[in-house]
This record gives sequence, structure tokens and C-alpha cells, in this order.
Amino acid sequence: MITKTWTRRAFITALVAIPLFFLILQYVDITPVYSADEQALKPRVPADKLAEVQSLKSPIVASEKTISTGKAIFHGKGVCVNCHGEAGNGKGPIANSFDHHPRDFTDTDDIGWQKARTDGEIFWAISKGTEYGMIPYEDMLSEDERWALVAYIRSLENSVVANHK
Amino acid sequence: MAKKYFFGVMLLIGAMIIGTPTGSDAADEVAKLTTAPEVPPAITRPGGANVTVELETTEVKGQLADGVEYTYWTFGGTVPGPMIRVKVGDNITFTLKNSDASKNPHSIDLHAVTGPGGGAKATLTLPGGKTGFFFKALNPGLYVYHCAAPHIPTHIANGMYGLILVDPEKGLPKVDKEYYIVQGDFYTTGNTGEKGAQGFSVEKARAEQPTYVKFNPMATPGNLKAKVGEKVRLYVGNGGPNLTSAFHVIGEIFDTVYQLGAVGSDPAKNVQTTLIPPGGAAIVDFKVDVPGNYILVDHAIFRAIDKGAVGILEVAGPDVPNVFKPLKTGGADAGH
Ligand code: HEC
Ligand SMILES: [Cu+2]
Repeated sequence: MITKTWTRRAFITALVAIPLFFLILQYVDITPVYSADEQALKPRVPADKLAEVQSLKSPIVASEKTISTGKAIFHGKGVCVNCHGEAGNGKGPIANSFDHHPRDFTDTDDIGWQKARTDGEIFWAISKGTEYGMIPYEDMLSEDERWALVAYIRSLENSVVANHK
Repeated sequence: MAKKYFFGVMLLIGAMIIGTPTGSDAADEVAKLTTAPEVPPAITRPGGANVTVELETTEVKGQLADGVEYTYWTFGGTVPGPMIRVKVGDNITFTLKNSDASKNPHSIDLHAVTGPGGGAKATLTLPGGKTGFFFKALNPGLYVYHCAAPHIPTHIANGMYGLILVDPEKGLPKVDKEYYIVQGDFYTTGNTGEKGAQGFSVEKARAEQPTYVKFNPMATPGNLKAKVGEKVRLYVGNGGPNLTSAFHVIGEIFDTVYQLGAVGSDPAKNVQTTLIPPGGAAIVDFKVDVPGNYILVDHAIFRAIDKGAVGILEVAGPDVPNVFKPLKTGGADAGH
């Protein structure tokens, strides 16, 4: 008796639920929706170049000297601070203009951007820019200068400058 | 004696080298740039000259309205930027300098250029830097130029635009006075009329709700001038970034309009108001028949009356009563 009722219930539920499921599917966009964090982590390099770019190695050694060279460009002639902020936290004076905010290199929000990118990808973004507003610098800064910036950006991970205030 | 001769011969050779034309038979010239509302002189020589044009981008404080201060981003320190005039067929070497006092990279996209980005990629320039490119002016017409450095809309909203005129081979019909005007919409953090230094509101810009709409907001001040009987030509551009202008001159009818700046098409005749989209331009010609002040407006009229989109053309001369005269019937006691 009990099993019979259950089968019937299950059958009726399925009868209603299955068509309903397909009906709903028609109205729901099932393409993945990225949160702001996921959006920031998604690779910027086109898929067909990703492997090659990810494996790029810096020709310069990250040292105090290269980091300070990078820092000087970041705050000086590269005008990175205007968008990425003095602290490199993505809060520069004109950051608001961008729908996709300039990257926070300090990873204050623990979204794991620093870990998600290889040096090669950071170098690529500085060189080629991104479709969301990062400026391409390949014609404006030398390769060594761009690698020095990579070293400086790496040094900002978990930097305490202006964080958690 | 021999030594003296030798010296003289050397001098002569030197003079010959300096004096020799560089091989090309085309003229070499530096384009004469003008600050609005002034227009560079018509080009009477044939096209095909080698012309150099140099602009500098700057970020400078100026006025947006009475007591309202705004930091404009500019070409040449003015809004609109300088007017450039070349001739169809000219070979142009374009140089862009970015002032070392700038905080932003800048670039230029000239709509008169046939080539990727109108020159934008080739001219992306850091503060203190200098870039350039070559282009041939293939099509005649009146074209907008603007900055195209990310975030592009912010650069345009801050005033980075101007006009380049490519004269057709036979030139445009002669007129008596030519003026250069560009409309732009502005988005301040404060409300319209709020005094003091105003920042740029990207929220209002996205919502396309300007606090000011202006003609030539940071150029040579003063009214446009003409005399009764003269033919006046206005080169009118729209930098935007958002609004399409319903350009009209109160009390005048445009005898001839090169709509959308399309030189070479049949111009329109007898036009009251001409549409000028952002990133577009128009050339309007009209004879001024009657003295008085003629007011240039965007006839989407709140923009003119409330947000500043007005300019004045002052026409001097004797009255012309057979064309226009006020009738002295007025006053509350008229008819008594
Ligand atoms: C005009 C504003 C602007 C300037 C100037 C600027 N950036 Fe960016 N940058 C951005 C924006 C906006 C993003 C986010 C774009 C995105 O999400 O793809 C970004 C992202 C980045 C990224 C992250 C790319 C990734 O793969 O996630 C790096 C690295 C970067 N910028 C480095 C720099 C450096 C170094 C400089 C100076 C040499 C600089 N930026 C100057 C606006 C700017
Ligand atoms: Cu710019």
C-alpha cells in the first residue's frame, strides 16, 4: 500500500516537475555569471596564447633594485598610480571611470589574484592592455621596464600599505 | 691667396647645399593651427603638399561657467582643440606631444585618417612623451578628432576634441567670415550652477545627464562678428560625448548646409536646424541681412537656456527695414 502511494506521488511529481524544469530553462540564462572576484580572476590572455604566455620567464632577477626601479615607474612616468592608486590597491583618482576597476595588487580582499596569475600573464597585461581598460604599454615602456613593474607588482602582495585601515 | 679662395668656394658649396630643394616638388609646410573661434585661412595651393601638424595634450584648469572651475583635458590648452586645415591629397606628418605636467596618457583619433584607430594606437603617449604617424588625406570634409586613451569616454568628456578640415581640391565657395565652433556636454560632481572647483562625475556621464552643455567652453572669449550683407560660414562640430545637437541660429536660416560635414555631397538649402551627432560636424553658410545679435543654440532648448549652450553672432550695420522691422504698436496702452 505504502509503496503504491509513493510510486503514484513520485509519478505525479515527475509529471509536473519535468515539464516545469524545461519551461523554466527557456527563461533562465544558463551561461555562467561571474561575480566581481571571478571576473577579476578570469585569464586576460586569449585562450590560444595562454599556455605560451603563462610560461614566459622574467629575464631580470627580482631584487630590491629591480623592485625599486618598478616602483619608480609605477609612481612616475608610467602613471600607473592614476588608476591603480598610490598603494597599488586599485583606488587611483580616475579608477571610478572604469566599469571593471583597475586591479588591486595588494589582494586585500583575498581574492587570490596574485596566485591566479603567472609573471608572464602580468607582463602580457602591461604590454598588451586588456579589453576592460588596462592600457597597452608595449610601445611606451621597454621590456626591462615592464619586467621591473612585474617585480614591483609582485612585491605588493599582502603589502600592508594602506590596507585594513 | 689660395687659402682665401678655398674658403670662399667652401662657403659657396655650403650655401648651395642648404638652398637645394629636398627632391620632392611638393611644398613643405607647417599647418597653421587656430584657437576657436578663429579658422585657418583657406588653402589655395593644389593638394599633395607635405604638411606637418603638431599638437600637445595638456590638463589645465579653466572655467565652465561663472565661478565654476573645472580641470579640462585638452589638445593645445583649449576646448575645443586647435582647428587644423589641410587639403585633400596632402601628406601629413602628425606629431603628438603629451605635456610632462599631464597625469594621464593621451592619444588622438582623427576621423580624417584612413588607417587603424585613426592614429590612436600609434599616438598613445605617456606624460613627457612624443609620438607620431604619417597619413594621406584621402577624403575632403569636416572631421572631428578626439583622444582615444582608456578610459576613452572620460577623456572626451573632459574636453579632448577638435576639428580638422580637409579642403576639397577646388576649395569651398568663398565667404566673407569663417568661424569654428564645437559643442560639448559636461558632467560635474556638483549641480548646475554650483560654484567652486568641480570634479568629473562618471555616474552622470553614464546616465547621459550633463550639468553643462557648451560651445567653445575654453577658447578665445567674445562674440562672433559680421557686417550686414556678409556671407558667414560656421564650421560646427560636436565633441559629445553623449548628446546629439539640434544646431540652430535664432533669427537666421542656413542658406546652405553641408550636412554631417559631407563636402562633395549636394548641400542642403534653406535649413532651420541641423543635426550634429557626437563625433560629427556640419558646415553651415548664411548671409546676414539684418543687423542685431543672433544667438547660436542647441535647440533642445533646456540645454541652451539652462545649461549654457549659447553663443552670439553680432551683426553690425544699418537697419534693413524692407527685410525686417519691429512695428511700434507695443505697450500696455497700445490701442487706446
Ligand atoms: C587609465 C587607467 C590605468 C592605468 C594608467 C594603468 N592601468 Fe593597469 N589596469 C587598469 C584597469 C581598468 C584594469 C582592469 C582591467 C581588467 O579587468 O582587465 C587594469 C589591470 C591591470 C593589471 C591586471 C591584468 C590582469 O591580468 O588581471 C595589471 C598587471 C596592470 N593593470 C598593471 C598596470 C601597470 C604596471 C600600469 C603602469 C605602467 C598600469 N596598469 C596603468 C587601468 C589602468
Ligand atoms: Cu586623453
